[in-house]
Amino acid sequence: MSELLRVEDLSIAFGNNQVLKGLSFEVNENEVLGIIGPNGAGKTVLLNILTGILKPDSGRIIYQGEDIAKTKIVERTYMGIGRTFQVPRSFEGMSVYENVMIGGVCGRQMTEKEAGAGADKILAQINMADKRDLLAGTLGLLDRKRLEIGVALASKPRLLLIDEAAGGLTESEVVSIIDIVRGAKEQGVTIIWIEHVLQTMIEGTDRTLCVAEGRNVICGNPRDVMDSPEVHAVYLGTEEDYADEGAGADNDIAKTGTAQALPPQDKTLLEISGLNVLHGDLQAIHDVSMRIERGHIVSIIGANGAGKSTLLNTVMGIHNPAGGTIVFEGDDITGKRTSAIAEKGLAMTPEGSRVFADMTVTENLLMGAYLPAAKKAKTEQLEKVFEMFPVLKEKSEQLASFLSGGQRQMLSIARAIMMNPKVVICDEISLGLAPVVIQDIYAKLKELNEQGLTFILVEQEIKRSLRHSDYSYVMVKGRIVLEGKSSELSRSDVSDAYFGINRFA
Amino acid sequence: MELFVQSVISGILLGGLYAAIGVGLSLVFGIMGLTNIAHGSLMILASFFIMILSQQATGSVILSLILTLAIMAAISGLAQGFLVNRVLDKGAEPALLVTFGIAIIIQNALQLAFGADFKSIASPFASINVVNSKWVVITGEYLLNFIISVAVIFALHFIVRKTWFGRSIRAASSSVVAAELMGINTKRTYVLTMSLATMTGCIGGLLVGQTFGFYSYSGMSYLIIAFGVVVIGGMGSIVGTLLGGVILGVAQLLGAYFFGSGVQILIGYLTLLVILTLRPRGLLSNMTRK
Repeated sequence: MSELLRVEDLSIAFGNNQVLKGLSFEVNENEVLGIIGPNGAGKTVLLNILTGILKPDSGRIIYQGEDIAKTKIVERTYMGIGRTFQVPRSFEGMSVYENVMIGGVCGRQMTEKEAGAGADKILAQINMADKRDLLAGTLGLLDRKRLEIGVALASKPRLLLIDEAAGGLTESEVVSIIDIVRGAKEQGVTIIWIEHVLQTMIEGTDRTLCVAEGRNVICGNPRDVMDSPEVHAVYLGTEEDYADEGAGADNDIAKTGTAQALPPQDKTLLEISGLNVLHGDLQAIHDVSMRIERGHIVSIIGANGAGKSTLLNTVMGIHNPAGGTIVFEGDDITGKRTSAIAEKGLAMTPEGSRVFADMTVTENLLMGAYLPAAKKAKTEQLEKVFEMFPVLKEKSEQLASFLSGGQRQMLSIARAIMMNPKVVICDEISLGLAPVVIQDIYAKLKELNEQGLTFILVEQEIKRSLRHSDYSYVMVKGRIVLEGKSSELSRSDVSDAYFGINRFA
Repeated sequence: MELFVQSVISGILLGGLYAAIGVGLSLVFGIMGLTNIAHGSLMILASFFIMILSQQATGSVILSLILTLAIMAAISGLAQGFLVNRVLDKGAEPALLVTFGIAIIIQNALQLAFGADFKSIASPFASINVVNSKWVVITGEYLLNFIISVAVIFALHFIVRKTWFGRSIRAASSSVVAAELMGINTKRTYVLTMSLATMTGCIGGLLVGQTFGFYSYSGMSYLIIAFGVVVIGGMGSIVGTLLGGVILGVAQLLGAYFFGSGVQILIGYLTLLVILTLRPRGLLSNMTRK
């Protein structure tokens, strides 16, 4: 097999953030190479470098024996490098057939006749011949993803870059995407497939490369890669990290003791039963049930797109469920208005903190005390959060837009505390923060929890979630696949659930 | 030279009134991102209410204004709650069309009820000259317009900056989700914002009713003035509205001084174009939109 593309020692930094740190790999002619890695591994940046949207700081990209690192986007298209987008970009007002035609006519400068003949062949290949004349805007998610690949194939690429084709699809739909990718390979196309849904790699690719923190972790046979200790360490943390958990486990026992002193019906703070949530035609949450106990820290673990944020947003009334119930302290809050749910004592720090940018830090905190019950105690609460987060006191008169990312997260938590809530839901509070800051924030959470506050934490990082929580739920593609006391969840259970090794076997 | 000074002074005073016309539009845009096409028509509706009430019921302009404020707050709040709020989640265009529809309904209802005759509200200060020198003449009416307008704008500024209600509407404008999470019912906030904005329009309606007069279709021409003011001052900036009004007023009257009164409106909007070219977001655009 001859080599089609070789990437050597690729590095790129954005400010102080070194995203790629000497990444190297090669793809052989007519091979499907899968690339996986946790969030922030540099996958999307890599794809943008390969298509010419970003220029690397150093390193070489050898395509058919030539260094193309300095060529423009359109030149690479003419060289036969095609791509699909994570969010399908088909032309909604055109038919399926026209969309595929456009790929041929504009991408490869074919005549209309050539492109038309090619288009019918491609429609058969992506199993959409019967949908030839439908408008792209009316298609469901699977069809839009298929069409996206069809449009890319129409420009007859030698190398096709696929960005997240399986996200949001059901298992049987994923299988049909895998079939299309395998079919393209049989016609001689070389493919690089970047994917969050790890389960697709075993059937869908010839070799799989795992990337973490901008470096290669391991590359080889997909099954071996998925089973390798290196990949498990990247996603789940190492054995030593688990050993650290001893301290946390002791805490659990102590707290479970106090919780048991309450009558059983008072122990449950929040109960979710049979919840289903739809995003348009995509089912984001399937039949999820959960019980959150008073005084616990509960973590919800899952990869990107597993439905964690959707679940929490539904609890808070930001999304409406298609079915199921959410009961808080005996009150049914399903489908209620967010402000009414907040009034019951549920607070959330939304993903990306969402501080009020054009208000000062103090004003932001006062917004937390907007409701009458909290307003009465606002002076004491303000003192309490300033004591807990001294940096906020220092910056109390500054506009929130001048705060750093970590300070905004602290403000978001402090603002939630100002509400004097019964439970705080934290959506990815560690996203994009430095480890020292994360440690600091988790220490504060622990402190608040010891004072009796219940937390629901959503995290992508498994080891952190398990270490800091009493009880954990693991979500994969909108379902809960595993739950248990964080101290008792076995490492192999979590990894099996997370990697879903047996799902496509 | 005397006429030049007179033009500048009159322009500033007129600008204050323009600001009162525009500030409600600016508030609604700043808080909910809605361009309220009905703003001018609601204002003229208020003018009619004040006129009818003072002529046929109360005999007092002040008392009629107070009644009208209550009536208009209710009408605009209901329109926001039952019509605009329903479509606001679907993007800016549907809501804009709804306000356009409200404007047409008001205009035609007024036409039906009062015909197309020109009306005005009697002003006790129209013929009193407060300043009467060789250089400049200032009528009591113009001066009072200016003082009332400035007072309205600073009162509104105070409400938005310093009160809990003001904080809640700023929070909703910054992030609807975060505001809801704080327990703020943003839909109700929008209703109150619309009522408040329309109440400033009532005062604008009284002042233009006394100063210029009005008829059933005047709303649209005052809307255009309001647009000019708000765009120059910066969409969403309350104090910017005052600046925008003064610039537009002075530009119009200086335009009349230099080129004749036939082109004064044109000069006003040419000034708007120049400012937009230099500062596309307006002069003071300090309120962030979501």
